[in-house]
Amino acid sequence: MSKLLECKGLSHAYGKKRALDDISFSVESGKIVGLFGPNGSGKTTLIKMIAGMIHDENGAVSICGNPVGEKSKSVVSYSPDRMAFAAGRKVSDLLDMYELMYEDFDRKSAEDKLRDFGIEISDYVGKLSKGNAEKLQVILTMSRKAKLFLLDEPFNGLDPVARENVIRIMIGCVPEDSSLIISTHQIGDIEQMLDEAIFIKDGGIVFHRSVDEIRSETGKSLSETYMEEYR
Amino acid sequence: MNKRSYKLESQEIKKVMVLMTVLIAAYSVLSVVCAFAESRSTSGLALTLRVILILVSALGIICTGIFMVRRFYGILFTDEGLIKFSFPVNNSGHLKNNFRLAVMWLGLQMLIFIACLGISEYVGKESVPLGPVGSYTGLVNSYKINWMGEYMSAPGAKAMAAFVIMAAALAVITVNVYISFIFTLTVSNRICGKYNILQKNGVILITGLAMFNIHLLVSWLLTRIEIMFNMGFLFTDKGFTVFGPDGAFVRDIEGPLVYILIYGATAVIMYRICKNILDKKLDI
Repeated sequence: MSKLLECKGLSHAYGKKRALDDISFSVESGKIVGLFGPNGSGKTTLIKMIAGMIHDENGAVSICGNPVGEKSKSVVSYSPDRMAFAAGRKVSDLLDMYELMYEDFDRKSAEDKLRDFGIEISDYVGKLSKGNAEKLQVILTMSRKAKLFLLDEPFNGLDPVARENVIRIMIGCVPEDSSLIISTHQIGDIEQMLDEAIFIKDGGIVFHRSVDEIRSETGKSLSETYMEEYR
Repeated sequence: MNKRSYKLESQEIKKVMVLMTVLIAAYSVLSVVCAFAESRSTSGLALTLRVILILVSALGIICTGIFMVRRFYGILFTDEGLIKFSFPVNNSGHLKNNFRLAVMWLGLQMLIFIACLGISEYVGKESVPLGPVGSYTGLVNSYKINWMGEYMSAPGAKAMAAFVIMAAALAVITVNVYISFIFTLTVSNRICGKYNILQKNGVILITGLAMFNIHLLVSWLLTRIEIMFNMGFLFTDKGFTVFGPDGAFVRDIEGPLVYILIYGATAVIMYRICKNILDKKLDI
């Protein structure tokens, strides 16, 4: 399989604190990868770097062979770790915006999913519950035919049933040749859908392996491995 | 402009459209009422309405500037940027987009303002006072005389040419002031990112104050140069008489040109620095 994402020597510091320290890894197409680590370990910074929100002058990110920029962004679908839509915007405005900016955005599919979750297209973002707002963001992100999906903490504020529904959306929406990187603390919820796991700590990668390998070698679930690693 | 930048721009145009429609409607109504008052020989009321029209237009231009600066602030300093910067356009595309729209809206408003003065002038009886320029009618006549070939009166030609140069200088100064705000925000974003400062509004305030003082210093230096070489533009008596019948255009072109050069060059430098920060050092 071809490399969809390649990160080489990524580093980033916030003031004197190093958030990422010379991180290198690659992800092949068709993989669902979990990004795990305690708070402050550098997960969000890493995802932001891949999405092009933060630049590193020394390291390099390559997506489908392109450096981060206009071309890479056209094949990356990114959902940030917090609500990024202004409260005064209507859901229909957001659909218009995504349709306008992304040629691969499937509006019909997005509208169907929104209806399934009981989100009205005429609703204002500010009127949605925290959980519904989060669902809206995930639905818009996942309604594209992107090559790489980046979801940063997509289960924030979701109840267990809603989490299950979001997972269902995620699995159903990722095309076979696309990859998904998901950062979350709800390891148990997504363990079954993962192909690979990246554990990071203090800005460095602890390990990056296939989930099956981890299970067969340790004889433990991913959640148990996580607890053992970071306890 | 590529297809995606065009799409981004059309999104932004939609956002400003409501504000612009309200402002343009206000100018139009005021100018028509103003003209009506003049045609009814109520010159006192007409003058009051004209003052209101000028105040509203000044306020409109300031509001548009603030609105556009706030749009840029939203992209750099609020969570909205997380979505905006993930759009498939270069990071500096957002700067280009904002700048182009700001120039377009501000320019449009100024043109509409002049047109509104024209409406009230055309319908009304008296000339619209335009400060050192004389009157709107005078300006239009000067244009007709010197550009339409009716007469070739030298002072009129000089006044017209000087007006164009002065308008260009004022436009460059306006652009420079706008870019200074954008520059303040972009540099503040860089400072906050590099040193991990969370008090972003404090950083913006301090950077803004520094920029303001730099502007004051540059203005003061330009004033000294203008007075020292007796060039006519903003701060010398000669500057205000340049449009009179004896306006000495050949000498007085130097003043506005110095302003165009200095403010234009600094605006270009600030824009390039912003572009570089957004493309190579963004941190949101």
